[in-house]
Amino acid sequence: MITKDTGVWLAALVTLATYSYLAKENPLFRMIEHFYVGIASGHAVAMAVVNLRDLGTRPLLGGQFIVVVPLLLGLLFYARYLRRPALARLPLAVLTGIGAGTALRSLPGASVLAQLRATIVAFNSVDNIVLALGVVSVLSYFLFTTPQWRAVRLASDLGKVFMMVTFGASFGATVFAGHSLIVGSLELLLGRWLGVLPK
Amino acid sequence: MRQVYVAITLIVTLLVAFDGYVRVDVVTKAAAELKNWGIILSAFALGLAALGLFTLHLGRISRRTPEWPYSAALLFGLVWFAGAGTFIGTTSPGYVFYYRNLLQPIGNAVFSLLMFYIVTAAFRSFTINKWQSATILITAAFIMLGSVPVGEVIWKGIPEISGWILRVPNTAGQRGIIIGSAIGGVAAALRTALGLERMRG
Amino acid sequence: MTMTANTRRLIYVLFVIAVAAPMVRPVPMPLMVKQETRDLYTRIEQLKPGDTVVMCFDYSPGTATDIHAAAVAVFHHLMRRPGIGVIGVAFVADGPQFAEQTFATAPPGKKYGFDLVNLGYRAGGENAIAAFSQDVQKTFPADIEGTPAGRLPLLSKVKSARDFALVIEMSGGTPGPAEWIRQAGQPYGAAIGAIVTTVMVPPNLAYLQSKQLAALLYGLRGAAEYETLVGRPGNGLAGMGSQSAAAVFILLAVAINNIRRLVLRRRALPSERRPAQ
Repeated sequence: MITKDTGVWLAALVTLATYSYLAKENPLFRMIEHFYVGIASGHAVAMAVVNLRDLGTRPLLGGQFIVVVPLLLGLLFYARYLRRPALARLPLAVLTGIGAGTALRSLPGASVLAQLRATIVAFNSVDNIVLALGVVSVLSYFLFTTPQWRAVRLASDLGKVFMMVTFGASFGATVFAGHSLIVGSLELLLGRWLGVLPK
Repeated sequence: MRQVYVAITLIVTLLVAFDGYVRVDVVTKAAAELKNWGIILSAFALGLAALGLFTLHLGRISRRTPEWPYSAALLFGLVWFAGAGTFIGTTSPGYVFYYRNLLQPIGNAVFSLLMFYIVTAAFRSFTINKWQSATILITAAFIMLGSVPVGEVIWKGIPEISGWILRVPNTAGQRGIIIGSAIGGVAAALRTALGLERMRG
Repeated sequence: MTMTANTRRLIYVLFVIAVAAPMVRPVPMPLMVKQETRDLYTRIEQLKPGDTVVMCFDYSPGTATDIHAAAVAVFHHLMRRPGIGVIGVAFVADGPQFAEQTFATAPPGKKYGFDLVNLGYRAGGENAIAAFSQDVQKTFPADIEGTPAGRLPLLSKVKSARDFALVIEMSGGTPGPAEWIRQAGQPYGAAIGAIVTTVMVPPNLAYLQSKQLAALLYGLRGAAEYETLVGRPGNGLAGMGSQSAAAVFILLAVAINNIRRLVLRRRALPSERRPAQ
């Protein structure tokens, strides 16, 4: 039983317009595609404004005058529209510093030491031995600036096998990436719109 | 002037980084304040991206390029959602209605088109002609079948083999990549903080 | 293999039929629940009254189908546990909308501000997660509607990531579980569980093995498994037949392609055979 819900009709029609691309590229699809970029960007702008209201203007009006600094810095991003693009380097310097500081603070502990600790396990099972061997051999593959001794070359060749398995796992996972989205679209079209799916 | 920007980057980096290693009240408070500044600056950067999109497509409309109707659709969508979200609110019933019945289904459909390309690529391009491609395809086949119930129906061993591949050799390879890219990330962060990476523009 | 436009369209139609058929006529199939899924279920069962859980909605429409079904199942499990508070946050612009859709399914009797709060979105990715983990109310002085944090009793219980009993990061890309591990797990000892798309499974298993992640649900399968555990069938279970059909279709396509190439190579004259590349 076809639904009478306006929202579902709208969603179904735009979904069909998008899938019209599968028949042939056409102006309707391009219109929908451009429209989507517009509304997605508009949504991001609306969310950014909420951030500025909650962390900028409201605290400023509440007496926290220090937020004037990031608000002014942020406005400097738009200096290029006033023919002074060099001024935009100032907020970029601060943002870059925050990013670099965050990386220096967290990467050594969480991504290097913790991962190495998890690799140095008791060699009391085949899985643990394969795991440790795999990590060492993959890391050996990335030694580009050291002398390529025989042991390093052998380890590197073994590393290639592990990386092929890793890429295969990622590839298998990626192949499935869009599939559940098709299930979502079909659930909308066949279920909520046309009502042919069993409840 | 470049030295000023480098100095600012270095000071900010040190304050944020040291907060993770030392317990000094002043450093902790400064780091917390800087992180909030980062959120404000990121919000301004989002607006900058949208403004760039706006001026690009406005230019196409004013020059009446062959694709100007599409640019008009883009600008209409951008102004509509940005304006409605800002002035009426992103949780208002009207905004939510159009978000759920336009943005969500179109986004879903656009990204699902990738799956159709993969299907045709499976008929044309996924070939086994070397040990590397054979390893990749066979591993991928086990992972795909291990992710769905039909894998267990075909053979009970498929989910076990798929699980082992993910838990052991895949983890080993991914761990090597995580460690290698983390070390590279630390090196890049140090180069940035010390001004050895040239900023363009 | 050169493919004409009509051949391509035929393949698309056959693929859609293959995927839609199990939705129209569901075929019951066994579903083994993986240990990674049980780990999240057990974690939530072990929560005590008064614990606060953060659900982080870091996905967008392009990755929602997998994750949203699992998010709803997990949310229902949390709401069934007595005295558990749920805080919704997002570091992706679309996240708050999915948080609203999930929280709208809360059972009667749950009170906003006491049992659940939607704080909304903060820009900046990993930096914003770091800010939130360090000081919750400084990063979110109000919720998504603008209600001050001081008027939300649930927020009075949490100052930083040290006070989170569990973080459930639901992500289709970046930021994701790795960022939460670096900014909340490692520095503050927060327990992190993750719900991710299938694409993100391989890298995140390394974090699961190192116990930096407490649990990992992935793809529509993860949603189906969790729905089985909580006894609440939803879109996850409904999609399993279609996923099975899609997997078989693609693998058959790969097999047909490779068999065809093998046959063609064998039929070619020796002088015409190209060496394997």
